Amino acid sequence: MAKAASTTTESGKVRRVIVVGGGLAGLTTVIKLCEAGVPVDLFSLVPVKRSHSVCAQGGINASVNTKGEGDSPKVHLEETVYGGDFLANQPPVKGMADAAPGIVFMLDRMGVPFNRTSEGLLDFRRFGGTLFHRTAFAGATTGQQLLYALDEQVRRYETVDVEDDKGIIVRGEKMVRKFEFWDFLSIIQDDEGRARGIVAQDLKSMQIESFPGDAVCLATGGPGIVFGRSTNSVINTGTAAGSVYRQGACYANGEAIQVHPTAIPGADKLRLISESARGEGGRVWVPKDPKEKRRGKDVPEKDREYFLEDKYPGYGNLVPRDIASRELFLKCFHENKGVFNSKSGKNELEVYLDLTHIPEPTLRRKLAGILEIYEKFVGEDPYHNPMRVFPAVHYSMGGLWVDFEKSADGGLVKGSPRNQSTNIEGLYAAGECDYQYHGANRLGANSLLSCIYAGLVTGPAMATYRANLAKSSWDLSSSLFDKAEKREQQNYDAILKMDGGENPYVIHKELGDTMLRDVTIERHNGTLEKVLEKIGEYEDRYQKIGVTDTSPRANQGAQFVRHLKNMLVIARVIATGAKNRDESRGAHFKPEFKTRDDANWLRTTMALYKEDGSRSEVNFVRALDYNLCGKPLHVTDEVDISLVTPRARKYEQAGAASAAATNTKADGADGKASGKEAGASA
Amino acid sequence: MPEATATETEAERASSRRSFLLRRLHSLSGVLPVGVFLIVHLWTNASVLGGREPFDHAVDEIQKLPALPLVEVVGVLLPLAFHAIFGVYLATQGRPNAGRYGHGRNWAYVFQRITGGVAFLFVLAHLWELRVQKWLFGMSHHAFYDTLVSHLSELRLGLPLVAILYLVGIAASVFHLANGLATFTMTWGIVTSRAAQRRVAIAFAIFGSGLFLIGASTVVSLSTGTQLPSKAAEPACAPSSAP
Amino acid sequence: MAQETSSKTKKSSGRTVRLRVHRQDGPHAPETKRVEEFEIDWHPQMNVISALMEVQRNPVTVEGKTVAPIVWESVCLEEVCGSCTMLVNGKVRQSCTALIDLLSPNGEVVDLAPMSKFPLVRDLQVDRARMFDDLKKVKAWIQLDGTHELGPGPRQSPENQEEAYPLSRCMTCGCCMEACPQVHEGSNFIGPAAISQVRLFNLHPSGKMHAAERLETLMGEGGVADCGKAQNCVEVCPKEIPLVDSIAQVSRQATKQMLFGWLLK
Repeated sequence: MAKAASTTTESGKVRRVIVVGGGLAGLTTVIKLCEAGVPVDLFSLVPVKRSHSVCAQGGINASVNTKGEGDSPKVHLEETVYGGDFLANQPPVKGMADAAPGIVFMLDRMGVPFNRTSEGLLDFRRFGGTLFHRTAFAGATTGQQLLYALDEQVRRYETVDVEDDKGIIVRGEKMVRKFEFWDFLSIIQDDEGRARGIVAQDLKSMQIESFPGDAVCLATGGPGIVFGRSTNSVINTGTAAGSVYRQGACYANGEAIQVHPTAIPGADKLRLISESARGEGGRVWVPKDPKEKRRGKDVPEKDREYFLEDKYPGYGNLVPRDIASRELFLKCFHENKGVFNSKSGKNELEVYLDLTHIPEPTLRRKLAGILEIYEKFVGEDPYHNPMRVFPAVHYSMGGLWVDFEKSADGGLVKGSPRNQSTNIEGLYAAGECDYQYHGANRLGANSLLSCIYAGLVTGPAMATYRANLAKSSWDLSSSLFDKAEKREQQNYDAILKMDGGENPYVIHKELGDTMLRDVTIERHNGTLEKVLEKIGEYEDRYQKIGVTDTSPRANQGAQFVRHLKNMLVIARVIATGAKNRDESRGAHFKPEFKTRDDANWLRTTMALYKEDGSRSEVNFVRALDYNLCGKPLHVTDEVDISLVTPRARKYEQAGAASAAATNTKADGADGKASGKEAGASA
Repeated sequence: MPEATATETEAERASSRRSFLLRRLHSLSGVLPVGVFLIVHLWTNASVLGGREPFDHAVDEIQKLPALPLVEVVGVLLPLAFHAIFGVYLATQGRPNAGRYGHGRNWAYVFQRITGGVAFLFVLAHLWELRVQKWLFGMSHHAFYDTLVSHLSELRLGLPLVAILYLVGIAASVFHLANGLATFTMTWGIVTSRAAQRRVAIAFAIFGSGLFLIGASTVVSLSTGTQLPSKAAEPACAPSSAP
Repeated sequence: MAQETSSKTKKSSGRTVRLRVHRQDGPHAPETKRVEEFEIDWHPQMNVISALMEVQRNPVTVEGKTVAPIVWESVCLEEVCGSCTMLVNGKVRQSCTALIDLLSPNGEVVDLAPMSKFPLVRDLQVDRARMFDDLKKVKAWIQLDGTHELGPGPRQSPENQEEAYPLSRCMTCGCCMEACPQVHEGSNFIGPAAISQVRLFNLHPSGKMHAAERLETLMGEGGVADCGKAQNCVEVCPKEIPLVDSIAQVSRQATKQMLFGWLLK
């Protein structure tokens, strides 16, 4: 790493950096910064222990090869980029796959109660897009368990004193200061455009305040709530990413939105049934006869259509999510199949996810967390009845554009300030809010991994950046911060004064319905055109919102209006990106352009914000120029495919996703694994 | 980086430990000696079921114990006073909510505090009736029987009020002891699983019921003069004479 | 995707749901304490949260008065984050799993109030910061040497994992604190959640090494000895964490620490 930075300024102030967001990525970043001796201010919309990471269920990927199947980071890398339809830059993916076993071991040491084998080792299960047992898990609430472990480590740093350069304790200063129930409003930029701190609002007192920081990291998650109802938590509005995008940060591959095939339909949320249900042997089927009226468990085997197993004998029920979702959609929408509901008297848009052939004790040990959710919300026993599920918006592969510096071995240069840096100097992004690791489709159980890996990379990158910073933000004149604070106060006051006739929650519902219907599994240019027109109308209606709550305390209504603005902006990025990309790649599927078009579209969608009156516009660019640590950098939209050469995706054949990596082995782990698969699906 | 360990002084630590030790002492005193005394006391007094003679004999036996006042004060009265007074303080430290959360153990929580209070008052009255009379006014221990019979058989408003109060007092004390024994096993971590705690609670409930029957028959016997017909017909749990 | 069911079925069902909400603008504004009733259209699979969301879109009371939208806390809506705890019909629980059809099968009014054992923020939102502070007090973490690669963690039997995992699912929701008669503004009892975390960390092969420090906190003021054995905690815990077992386990450890750590050392 570069030269060590001073912990305090000349006037004795502690030079802190800022991390916004306390999910897996944010917390990991904080831990790494603390280990590098950098004090942190951590901001979060909610107590960090309630971050959306808790919702992750199935597990975290690491090719530890406990089952002796010949798994390796090389296979993991290949399957990840293959699953992502080659849109991901490969060096960061390599870095992630190589680091994965170490990450899982680190979590194990932190006390995550991972399930165990009888020998006391970590147990691994299968997930989508692979034939290997690569997913470590803690019951079916792995995300929760990982988040808690990191949360505990950060809590510990809340009790650790800051030391100055001579090793003397700075009185009253702890390594981590937490600001929970604070809403990120914007970054503060100096005259050169560098991020120098943030403005945030206390969501209890509604006080707006500016905070200096030598570097800022956004780890604020995805924008799932743009789609109204999704598997996402209600806090996932994408507002922070939207806000810095409006300040000039580049947003990449916005159109890459993952739809998860198996969720429970609901009025407020579409609750996820993890892919681990299929990883443990769950089977997806639909009654062959669209007029089938018998209950799921009464339908005999011969009258069931196991459509994933039939069409994809190689990967069966564990094809990647984009493929499974499309197949489900095909059955329900184009073939009018589904599950008959005696209450409504018609076929509902649902298929069966069946676990009833697996012994109940096994299910309780490995999947209780998710089956409990099904039981509580549907009121049906999933141990003895096939579950009824339908696809739901789940994850954004796209996000803030971030850079990387490639090492000689094809991975990442450790500690490089370019890693995870946005095009705004001093602003970093990590986790679902960055676009880096998943290309056009994310493999199951890679999200927890990418969040933690991104954090492990971002922490050292920020530490290096801070060490190279000529003048600390803590030494800048207060006018810069006062100005920013005043600007945000004015914006907020303007919201409180809105007195039109529109209800922000109604606009959001309509936006969500539009996005959910037209910008998810199947995308048509004609419809997308109309979606964009509608987003424009919502933006116009936004101006006419009436705020009924002007309370100076815990004003959630006014806060929501602010988030809605950024949701509208992000919605436009997603829809415009989808309209532009005239091909089908991963989760982005256009029936009019059914194939992948590498010649024209093997490139990153890079969006910059433009404004036209009250409506936002998207400015797509092919290259970016930005400065970092005094060096001008030029980056393009070209995808780094230096490690795995793109080829067509074919999940019909067992081992297709790992062909290159496994073929290099003499004995062919591929054959062994596929033999297992054949046995399992027979 | 140094872990910011709370640099509490030895004095601070001792003061923070005091609360824990007092509570553990309270729990212990309820069983030993107070609980044990209650069992022995009820058992001894049940000798009345065999008539006056066995009872007087039992009382005599006790009077023969060496340094009796010391045993009574240090072994019973002081621990009882501590248990009662600290117990009243502890009871004020809770906000019962069994109306809202009406689970069995929550009701037991409420009853434990109520019965503690009732038992406390009962013991005070009982002490006044006999012990204080003996110490201050020289009542002979041979007068206990007559005093008790006269009090317990007395009718007020057409009812044996004192006998009823005795029954209530004994019921409260016995419930407090039986439930207290069950919670004692939790307080000290003797029984850790909830399933085992349930079994223990049932065992102590049976024990408590038996103890109450002994005490209640003693009261009824003193109140009505009823005695066990003959030694052969005595229930196994009731003693015929002093231990 | 055709998931716009709610708007279509809205008017057709005719069935409505009534919410009675106990509101207050802030902790220092007792004069704003009020009860407001709302009536909204029923949807299939409706829960308290989706009912409150419906009120957000049209915040008008049954008397026809437009009011500020109700303030409450929620995040995941699938009972893993612990945010949305409140008193539903007088009892503490997560409101996301409070299904309207079960609460009000015949159109009974659903009563919503904030938890009473934590400082009020506004309406249904309270401040549970003390629970996170308590986790600091008991050092609810593994004393990690660092995140750099040090190989796998200690081996553990599946049985050990099966004991630890349920404890580790505590989402700091506060149900146990709210229902505990020993927890209130006048007491400093740490409550079941933190005690159970001590059991969790004292169980872990590396966490064990600092067991005595954690016990020391729990053997101080407001520690494990303040438990009143009412066992409401385990009755209301939405994750069915064996809190009573945890308290007894920690009590056993405390007994040992008292005998062999303090008295007979």
